[in-house]
Amino acid sequence: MASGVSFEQIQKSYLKVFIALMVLTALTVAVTTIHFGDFMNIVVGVLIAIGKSALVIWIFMHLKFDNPRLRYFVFVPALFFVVFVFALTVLGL
Amino acid sequence: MSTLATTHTQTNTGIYHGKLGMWVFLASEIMFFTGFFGAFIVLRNLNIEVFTASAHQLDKVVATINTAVLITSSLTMALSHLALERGNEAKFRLFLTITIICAFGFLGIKTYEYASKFSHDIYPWTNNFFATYFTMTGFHALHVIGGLIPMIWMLGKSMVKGYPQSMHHRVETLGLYWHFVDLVWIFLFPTLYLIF
Repeated sequence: MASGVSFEQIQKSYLKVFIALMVLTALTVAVTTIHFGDFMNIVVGVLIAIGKSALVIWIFMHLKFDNPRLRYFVFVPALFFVVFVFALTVLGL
Repeated sequence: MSTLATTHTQTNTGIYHGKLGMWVFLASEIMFFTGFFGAFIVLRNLNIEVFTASAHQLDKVVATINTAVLITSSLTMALSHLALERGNEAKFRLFLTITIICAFGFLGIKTYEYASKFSHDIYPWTNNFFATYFTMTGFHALHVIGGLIPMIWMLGKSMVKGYPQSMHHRVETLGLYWHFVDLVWIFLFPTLYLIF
C-alpha cells in the first residue's frame, strides 16, 4: 500500500468501495425485475459483475498500488476467461 | 513499501515472492472456475427450459444476504491488513475476528440453503442445473473454508504471542486470496440466481 497516505484516507477509500459494492449488488438484484430481453438481462448482469470485480481487484487487492507489471497476471487469465466464455456463447454450443 | 526491503529478499519487481506466488495461484484459479462457467453455459444452452425452471427454485433473498456478508468480510479483511501494516494489532485482531464471523455466517447461510434444497428433494443428481449449482457453490464454499483456516491460525497466534507488524505481508497475501473468493461469488451470484 502506498506509504505516506494516512490510515484514515485508505480506510475511507475502502469504505467507498464497500458502499459501491453494496449499491451495485442492490442494483444487480433490482434490474432482474426489469425485462430487457433474455440476452440483455445476461449482459447487464455480467457488466455489473465486471464492474464490481474491477473495484475489488483495483482497490482491495491493491493492484492500483503495485508494480504495473503485476496487472498482466490478472488481465491475461481474465482475457482468457472472457474469450473462452464468449466463444462458447457465440458458437451456440 | 519501505518495510519490505528489510524483511524480504530483494526482488526485481518490488513485489515480494509471497504476493507474486499468490497471484500466479489466483491466475490458475481463474482458469479453474472458468471451466465451470464454460460447462454451465454449454449445459444451459442445451437445456434452457430446465435451467430457467430450476433457477427460479433458488432463494434470491438468501443469496443476496450472503453476497452482502461476503462483501463485508472483504472490507474487514482489507482493513485488518491495513491495521497491522500500520502497527495497530488490536484493530488487526478486531477486523480479522469480524472477517471470521462473516465467513462462518456465509457458510451457515449456505448450509441452510443446501438443507432447504435437500428437504425439497433437490439434489446434485436432480438435473443438470442443480448438478452445476452444487458443484460451483460447493467448490466456492470449500474455498471459503480454505481461507478460514489461516485466518483462525493468525488470530490464534496474535492472541497467544502476538503477530508482528513485519509479517503484515502474510495478511496481505491471505487477503488477496480472500478477495478472490469474494470475486468468484460476485460472478456466481448473478449467473446462478439472477439471469433467468
